[in-house]
Amino acid sequence: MGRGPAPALIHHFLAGLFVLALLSPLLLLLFFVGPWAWPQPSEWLEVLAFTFLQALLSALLSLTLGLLAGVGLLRWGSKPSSSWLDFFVLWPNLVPVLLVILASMNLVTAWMTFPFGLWAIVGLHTLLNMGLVAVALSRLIPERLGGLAELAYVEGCSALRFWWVSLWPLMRRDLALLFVLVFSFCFSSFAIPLVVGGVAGTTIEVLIFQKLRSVRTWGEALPLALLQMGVIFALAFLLLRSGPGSFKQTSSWTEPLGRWLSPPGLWLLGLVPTGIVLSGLLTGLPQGLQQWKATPEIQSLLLPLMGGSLLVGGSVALLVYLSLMALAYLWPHALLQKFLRGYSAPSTAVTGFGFLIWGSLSEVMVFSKMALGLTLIYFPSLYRWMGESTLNPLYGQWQVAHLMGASSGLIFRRVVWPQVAPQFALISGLAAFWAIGDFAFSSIVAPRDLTLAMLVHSLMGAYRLELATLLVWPLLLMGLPFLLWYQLQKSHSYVRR
Amino acid sequence: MDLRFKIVFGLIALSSAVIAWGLYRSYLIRGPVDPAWFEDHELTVVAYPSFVSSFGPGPQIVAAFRERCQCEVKLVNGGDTGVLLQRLLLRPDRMGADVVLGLDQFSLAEARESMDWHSLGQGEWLSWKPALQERVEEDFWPYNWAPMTLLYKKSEQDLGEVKSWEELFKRIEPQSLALQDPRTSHPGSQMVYWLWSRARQVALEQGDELDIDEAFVQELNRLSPFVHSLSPSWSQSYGLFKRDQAALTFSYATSPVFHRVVEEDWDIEALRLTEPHPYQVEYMGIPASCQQCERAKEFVLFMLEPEVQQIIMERNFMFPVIDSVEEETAFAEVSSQWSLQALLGRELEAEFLDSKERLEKLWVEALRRR
Amino acid sequence: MSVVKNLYRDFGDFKLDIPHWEIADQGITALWGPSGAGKSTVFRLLLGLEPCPGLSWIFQGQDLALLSPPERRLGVVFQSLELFPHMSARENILFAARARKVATHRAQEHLKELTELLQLESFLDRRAQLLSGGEKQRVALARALMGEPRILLLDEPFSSLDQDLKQEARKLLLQVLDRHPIPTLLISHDPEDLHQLADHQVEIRRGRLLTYS
Repeated sequence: MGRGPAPALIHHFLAGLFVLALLSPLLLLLFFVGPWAWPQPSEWLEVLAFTFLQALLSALLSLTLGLLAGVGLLRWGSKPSSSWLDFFVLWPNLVPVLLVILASMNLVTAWMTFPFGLWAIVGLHTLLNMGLVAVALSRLIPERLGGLAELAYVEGCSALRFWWVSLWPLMRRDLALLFVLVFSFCFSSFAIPLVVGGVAGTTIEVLIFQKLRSVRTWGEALPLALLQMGVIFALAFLLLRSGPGSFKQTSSWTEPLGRWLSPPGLWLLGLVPTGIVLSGLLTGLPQGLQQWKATPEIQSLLLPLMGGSLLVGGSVALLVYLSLMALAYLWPHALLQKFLRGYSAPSTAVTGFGFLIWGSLSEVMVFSKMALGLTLIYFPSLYRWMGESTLNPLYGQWQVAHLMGASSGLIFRRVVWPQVAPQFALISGLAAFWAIGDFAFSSIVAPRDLTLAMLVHSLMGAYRLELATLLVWPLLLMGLPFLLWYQLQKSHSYVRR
Repeated sequence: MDLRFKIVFGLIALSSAVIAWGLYRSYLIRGPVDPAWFEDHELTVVAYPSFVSSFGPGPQIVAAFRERCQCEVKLVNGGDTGVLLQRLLLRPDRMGADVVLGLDQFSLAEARESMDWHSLGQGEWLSWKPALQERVEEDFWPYNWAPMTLLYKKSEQDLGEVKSWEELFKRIEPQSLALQDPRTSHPGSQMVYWLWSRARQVALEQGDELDIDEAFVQELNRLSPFVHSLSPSWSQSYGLFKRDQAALTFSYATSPVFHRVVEEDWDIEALRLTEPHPYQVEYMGIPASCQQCERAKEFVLFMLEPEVQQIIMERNFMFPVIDSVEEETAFAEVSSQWSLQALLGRELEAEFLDSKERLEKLWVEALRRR
Repeated sequence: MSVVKNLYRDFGDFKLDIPHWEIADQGITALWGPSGAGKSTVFRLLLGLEPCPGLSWIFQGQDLALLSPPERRLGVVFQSLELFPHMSARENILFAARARKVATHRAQEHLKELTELLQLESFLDRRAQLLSGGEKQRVALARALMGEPRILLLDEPFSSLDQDLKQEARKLLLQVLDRHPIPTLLISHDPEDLHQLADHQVEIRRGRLLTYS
């Protein structure tokens, strides 16, 4: 919000601290690694163009298919089973990328030679992200279009015409937000472009990693990281610069409405990526079990590592929740919000290296670093995607309370927090879900495997792909606390209506 | 209290409980593996993930050494070998490392450039394998090694007769080699080295007409149609091979032993060409900043004892550097096959390292144009 | 009489330019004009929601423009009412007392009086979200009065009500102001509001004040 009276000095100070915390990995690198140098433009210009192109196409396709699948999911409305469905649709987000690659290659090569290149990258990115888009939209559509849909239904409008007329004008900003989210994921993608890109698939993230690998060139990594962040900043700014037009309709979403607007069977589209991933998870299970039996040391590790995963997931959820709360306390702060609208976290490699510098190697410290680092990585996207649109509708109430002379503490406690808490709980639950599946960041800062995802990754690096595949199952089960969280939030938002 | 507040507090309480349980469970990790994980003043050994992991050789070796020296030993994951050195450099305390394991022959120069290392001598009294004798450095000692080659599955296509690249190209289908990207993976660099050495040979044979870079590009252009993919890491390309997506992969000559021993699978075979193969040597060193320097030297020597060499061999699936360790083990056959194999000489490496960055660029360029 | 000086704002395609304006400090002053005339801008600038350098607003010897928006102690009802939907009507009203740190017993007394005056009894403990339009409007007025404001500012407060409810609401407003004679600035484009409520009228067009009466 650009309007409104200037916040108190202490708010500026706290907002500054907040920004500093978000930038800390970069600042650490800035001070400890150097001297900085720009790599030759010939080295990164073409790569930048390719990175941009693949991210653009991936985001567009993910959005299109995710939208279709999301419309399909509406048919399940607010039935309890829909949460389970959402959970399954989100699965591909938790599975190690290699397994997704293998499963889809397996499927494709049954029919044709694998089409290495740009479209393979786009296809795999879509497979990974369309579920997320579908779940997000199936939750947003009732909020944004519920009232209008009711009216259109009663007035006898055709469903197709309703979508045609209402979707883009009323959900443009939501779609833009999702686009930026998926784009930023794909823009910093690493393994997929390399493996299926048919050798052409170099992204900026690959260059960053390459530069970080040698002491002789690591001074060129930070400028590349800044370039990477700059592109997403510019894109977010460009697409989201018109103020946030989020609103909520209070009408309830009824089952007939879902049946009217959602063609039968379309919801199955959302399960296609899950199906592909599942086929990959079932491959080699007997061998996996054989390796499991042959490796007793891993059997004894399973429970502790699941504990470690839950610890990291829970801590990330808590930290994301607290950060959102801090932000809600500082809100509305025009500069901070402007910053957050464009800011995207530095890549995993950069954050990881920034976090290597400080702290002891004690277990408590390492777990703290994992929780903090993953929070810093996830928070900006999650806030831009869902946090801002939760807060902004409360601006009018904030103004009234402010004019009444209420202190910012009172406004936060009595006006803002009670209204945003459930949605913030949901956001932090999603962060936990991602944190449970992380190995890339964790394995940079942790001195050994502390979570199940890290173990899965290590097993892949030690010939035991099948055992790793087997252990993805408990990893997926760990998404369950998230489901519980999600279910609570959903039933609660139902109460609110 | 408002229902909403109750729910939120409930959620926070729930997650706190989850965290508490997680903390409790994660403390159990420490128990059997490494009881003194975060105490000070113990010997600190920094190694790479698969060495440190519970199924790698690390925990067993550390436990044995702990018993021997009656001292505390801490085993720390320094990350993939590509970033091991940077991790050490980034931390002012050098991670407290007393021993560093996992540098390969291509990273030694950089390791020396970036920090000081203790002298270890030549270890003349040790019975090094003859092939490894020349790899012993003043400041770094090898502890395991393996020739690098292409692996294939006999059931798919028996390439046992193939003895040269020429023959190989005639026998295999396009898009059948799962390789690694040299920019992100050490085996990837080894593959570039292999191809470069071949190009160098060709250029030498042709005299002044062809310089090495041109020959290298020619070789690349011949290789390129056969490349299936360039993965960011060895594990990914190996996965593609293992799950039948690629017919061949670039890996260690010792990889088939894993499948023979653990899975009783004799299908995977390593290609042995008459042309010399590259090989990866893994080194250990003692940083000059060590705290427990004497202990560190004891540990380095301990790593070369036959029993320990056997643990490394059987858990890392690499060849030992000390003679006769593999006799009467599953490695014996593979070892004897490869003992006669022509390997790329050490003297080539310096020349390669000088142009490594440029060659890797050429490599990526050529394969991208495919 | 309160005197506003230098109420000036340039939006490029629209300019608000009110060099001098005397607002009566008794009764209801209605600021009226067509849409886009600048009514709401005047409202926001007076509240201090947007910066207006050079503005002075002398009320009872004090320059309100020098004070921060909360310190101006203005009672406000927005067109959108902006009730806190998760609180009951009672909590909404008492929030204002709490914001102004009014002592509890005094707030309770005041609430009792407002409840009677504005006939809030039947829905005082209902969630704001569930109130009807007319009920919401009365709660918003009660909330604005609870903080014991210097001046009451109402921005099209009846616009969302139907004719009967509007009539009722106007009657209640007059009753309340009869009991609490707080100078009120009412922004409206409804001639009925002017006719029935306004003691003084000011017309605004294209950012300039036209008539006083």
